[in-house]
Amino acid sequence: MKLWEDFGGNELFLLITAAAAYLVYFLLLRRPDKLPKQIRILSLLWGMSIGILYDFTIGGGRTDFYKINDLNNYEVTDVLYYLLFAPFGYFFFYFYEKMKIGKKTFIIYVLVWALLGVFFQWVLTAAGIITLQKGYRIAHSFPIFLLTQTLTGVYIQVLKSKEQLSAAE
Amino acid sequence: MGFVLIIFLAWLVLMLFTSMNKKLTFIENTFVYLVALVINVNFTWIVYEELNMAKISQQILDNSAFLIHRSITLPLTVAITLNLFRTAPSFGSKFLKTILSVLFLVLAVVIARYFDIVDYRKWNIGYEIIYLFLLHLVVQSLLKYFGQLKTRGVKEA
Repeated sequence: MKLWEDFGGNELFLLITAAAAYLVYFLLLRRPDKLPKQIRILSLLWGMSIGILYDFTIGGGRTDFYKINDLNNYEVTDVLYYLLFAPFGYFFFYFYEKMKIGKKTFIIYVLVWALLGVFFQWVLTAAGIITLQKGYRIAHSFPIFLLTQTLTGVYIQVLKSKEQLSAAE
Repeated sequence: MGFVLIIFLAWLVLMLFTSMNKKLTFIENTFVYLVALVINVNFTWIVYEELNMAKISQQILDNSAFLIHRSITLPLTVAITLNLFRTAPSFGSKFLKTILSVLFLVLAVVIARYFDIVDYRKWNIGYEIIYLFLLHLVVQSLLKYFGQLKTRGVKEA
């Protein structure tokens, strides 16, 4: 485990992107319609878990389809990369609730998020944070995002049937 | 054969979790599962890939068995145990349930080792038991904190 191979442009880009994502997250928290604390923590954890699960399953180990930052090994800056996933978990939950996503809008919502995911991965690849290898292409991430966002949407629907998502703190 | 047994254990845990009378709320169960998952994925990566204290088989079925145990069996076992904690009246009862949970997970590791799904080098069962106990402790502590976040505005269904 290394701190980083070489603190360069990709690490700087990652820092700026993470800072921007968390800035938006904290700005959304200032709104009166923010999600309740438990849902907030859960959505952050959900976003981070999905990123970690995929990266440590297909991004490393036997398949090793891509590397994060400069090495195939775990770098401390990789943690920053995983933390970047967390606010996007909140954004997904938050806008799902605020846009009152239902049966008619579910497909569009999931599809837009899946496309956004692919676009974001393209940006991270162009910035040198992700390096694809062993024949893996960005397009291959589309079904992964599609499955992930669909499962997340279904999870939120089940959650809504059990808990009240709208905040009242 | 190792793959078959590990899949059986995953199925068993999944069925037990689905059918059990859960004492944690839906959101708490998700929290426990995700926390255990994140810790375990990172921990196994560091032990197996970074420190090279153990090796995972590169044979596709065995490798998949390892991933299934890491991502499904272990976090769900922790979730089942923490649900059972709610019905445990004393510390002794909780401790006993933790021992049983750890023993079950150690059994999975013994199977994985016997069928060469994992190969311990500088790692051993003793370290694994310590890790599993600490994992239960950490997840339980985080769940306690998470439970305190629940506010009056969030109504149970």
